[in-house]
Amino acid sequence: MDKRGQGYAIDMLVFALMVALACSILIKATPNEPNTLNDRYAANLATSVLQTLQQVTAGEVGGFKYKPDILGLQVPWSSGERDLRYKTLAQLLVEDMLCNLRVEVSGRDILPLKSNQEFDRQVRKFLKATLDEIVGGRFDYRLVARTNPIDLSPAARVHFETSIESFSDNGRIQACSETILMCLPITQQELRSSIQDVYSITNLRLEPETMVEIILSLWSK
Amino acid sequence: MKDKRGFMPFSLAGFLLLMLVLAMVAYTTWSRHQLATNTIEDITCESLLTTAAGVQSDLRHVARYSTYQALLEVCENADNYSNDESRENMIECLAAKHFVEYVVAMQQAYKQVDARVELEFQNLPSFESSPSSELFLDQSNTNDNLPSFYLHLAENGFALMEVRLQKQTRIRVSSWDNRITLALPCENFSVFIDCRYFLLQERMDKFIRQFDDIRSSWKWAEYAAAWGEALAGRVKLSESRSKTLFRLAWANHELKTFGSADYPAVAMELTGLDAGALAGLTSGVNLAVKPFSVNDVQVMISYVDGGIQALEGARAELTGVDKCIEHARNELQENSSLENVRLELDGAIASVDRIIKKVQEVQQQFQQLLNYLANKHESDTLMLKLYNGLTSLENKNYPPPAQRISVGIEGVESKLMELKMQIGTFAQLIQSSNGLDNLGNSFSQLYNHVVTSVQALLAGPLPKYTESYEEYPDPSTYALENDPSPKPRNVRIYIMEPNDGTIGTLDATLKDVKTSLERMEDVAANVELEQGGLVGTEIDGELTQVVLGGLDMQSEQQAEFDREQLYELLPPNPIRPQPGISVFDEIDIGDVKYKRVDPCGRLGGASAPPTPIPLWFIDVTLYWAQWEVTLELENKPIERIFDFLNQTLPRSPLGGSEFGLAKIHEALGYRYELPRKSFSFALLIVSPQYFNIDAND
Repeated sequence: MDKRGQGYAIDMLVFALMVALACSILIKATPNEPNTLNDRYAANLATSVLQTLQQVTAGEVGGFKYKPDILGLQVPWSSGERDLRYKTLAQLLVEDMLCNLRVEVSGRDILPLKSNQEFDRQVRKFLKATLDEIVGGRFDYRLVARTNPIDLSPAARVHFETSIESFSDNGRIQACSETILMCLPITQQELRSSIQDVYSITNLRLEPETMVEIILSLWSK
Repeated sequence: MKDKRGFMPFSLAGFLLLMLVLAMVAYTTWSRHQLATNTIEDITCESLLTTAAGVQSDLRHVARYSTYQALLEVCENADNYSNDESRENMIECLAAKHFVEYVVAMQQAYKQVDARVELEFQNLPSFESSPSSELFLDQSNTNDNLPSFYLHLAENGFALMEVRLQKQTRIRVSSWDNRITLALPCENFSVFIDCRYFLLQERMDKFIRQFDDIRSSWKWAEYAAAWGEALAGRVKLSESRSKTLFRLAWANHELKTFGSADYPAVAMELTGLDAGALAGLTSGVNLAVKPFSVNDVQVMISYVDGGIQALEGARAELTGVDKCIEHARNELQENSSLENVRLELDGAIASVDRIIKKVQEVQQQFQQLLNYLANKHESDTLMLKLYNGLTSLENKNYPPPAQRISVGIEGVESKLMELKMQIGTFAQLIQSSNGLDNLGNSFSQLYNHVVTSVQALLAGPLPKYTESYEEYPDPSTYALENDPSPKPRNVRIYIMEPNDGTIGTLDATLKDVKTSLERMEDVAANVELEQGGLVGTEIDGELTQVVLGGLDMQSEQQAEFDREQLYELLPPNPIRPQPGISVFDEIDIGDVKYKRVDPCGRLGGASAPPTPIPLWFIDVTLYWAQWEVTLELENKPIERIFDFLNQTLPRSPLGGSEFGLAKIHEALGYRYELPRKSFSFALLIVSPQYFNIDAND
């Protein structure tokens, strides 16, 4: 092979190298679109579901009833059943918290421990059935509702948290998580006097943030 | 290939190709970046909108709870307000006040929890503590810086709260990098309140408006019980029974107005009262409340009137006989033709025949009266008494009215037949005579006889038997200020035997019977007037069934609860499914007083026998007793109604302490303290049978 032949060969090799480099750049630059679209859809769905919780009443999704068990009393002339068909789903969730607030010292509930557990049970069951219907087909979900802890002292706080989920998290990557805030419908004055009356705690200085966070997280199935 | 012009090495072509790919990738990456940036902005905008909508929804949420609180506070003492409008104004003001409290806290809360959210309430005054209610109540206050609440009626008695916030109220939401800010106006919105405040208010208004129905139902129940006792022969008014009946009447009014009653309370209270009184109310004793009716008496009077009119006709015809004989005499005196005299005498005979028919009609009318009574007396005690009074001879010194009429008619008929015979005999004498000359004497005798007979038949009655008795005033003419003492009265009997029968004595006898029946009609009218208000006030059978249904009151379990508190937690199931209201009441019945006001009662005291009303001419005595019954309540009665179908308001049970911070849903309770403390009515018994009266308990 003379020198010209070598030059041609090198020229071809450089050409091939350039083509390979161009191809690898093109391959590298190809976007992974499907995931992005899926996450966006999930985020939209989560937002819509949270809005639905705020707008749709229990009556529109089959109705909601419960019988409180807190009283430990039955009278023959009263069914004791509560029909809350006009409340929105978010309202039910917020009232679940309002009806079951706990006072905790160093991580442990303090007496009296009575709470409207039947309401809590029924709300969770009802919301689970509703969420299964709305999002259960395409995504797994977890709905967490919690009060921001209301500190009574460095060790004591008022709180409540509940969660409704369709699966056990096995380390899968979450598609989205959306949050709404709602006011806990209890005034500072009412909360303060309730706590003082029941727990004999004086000189309470409560912060005003009696807010409820409702967080909906979705996972692709 | 020797010519190298236009030659380009492959490496240069490859380099150019690489450059082209790099340019393409750079462009694609740039455009994707642009797309991503736009998408993020879109998502951010959507997220901001969602957050703003969430805050808007939260404001509604807070407005709803403010209204709940206001409703609970106002309905706790609904009687504090003079009318519906002032009550609704107070709800609006309190709801606005609570809303401001929440909103002030919310503004700070959002700042701390989510710094992106800002609630802009233009010029909202800052309150160190809870704002005063007066600020919201002051009608002259035109402070535009405060929100306004307006309560409206929604379907089925629910409420709708219209909220008007200050002008330029905004929900401002910013993105985390502050690049995008969204300011959503939020000035007016409406909130549906899921409890039927307007239904409760309307029903309670109706309950108060028709409050007198309680008295009417109680009166009906007392009448049913007392009349039943009167028919059984012994009346005893009892405080225990009256309390039971009053309690039932109250519950009856509740049932009619609210579709339910405080039946657990009635059932509990009946254990200490006279539950036996209820049994009587469910077994049709109310029929006894109608002993005799004005209509029946009027029918009887119409038969007697028929007889009196027939006698009037007979009287007129008898005058006609007199005239015919007078004409015949004139014809004779003028020596007119025999034919004219005979025609006058025939006219007189025809008149006598008609009189006989009229008198027989009296008999028929009276017989119809007796038949009417006979048809009814099997099912009606009074009718039997009347029938016996008119027909029975028992223990009497004079014949009964039916016999007197019958005997009297017999006498009249015989007199008329004799008269007819004499006129007829003279008419035959004329036919067999050739001239009028020989008839003068005979006609004078006939004329005198006819005139005497007619005068005797028409003459005023002469008593054949007289009796005296004492008569008390009767309910139709009696007033409490009247003297209750009896007055002496004399009565006369005109017919003892057929010979006593004349048009005059028959007329007097029928008019006496009519007088007694008219007195009876007056008494019946008075009784019916007194009972007039009782129509439709009967105690509902559904109520007595529920109360007598054997409710298990579980008193041990409930001992720790105040009854009203228990109802707040567990309102009783309504008796009727619609409108779905539970009822609580608190009535402390004090004394029940019975004051005898009939003449014998006034003169002789509580256990004096009933006042007799003798209807002498029909030989019936009615017995009359009358009381003023008054019931006093110890305290002002409390009426509270719960929206059973919508137990939606979260509240601390029994005020809290035992249940910590726990809450349960309770119904809105509309509580009203009623002003009336005294109830009274007149209890009137009129019976054809004698009854004893026992002293009250």
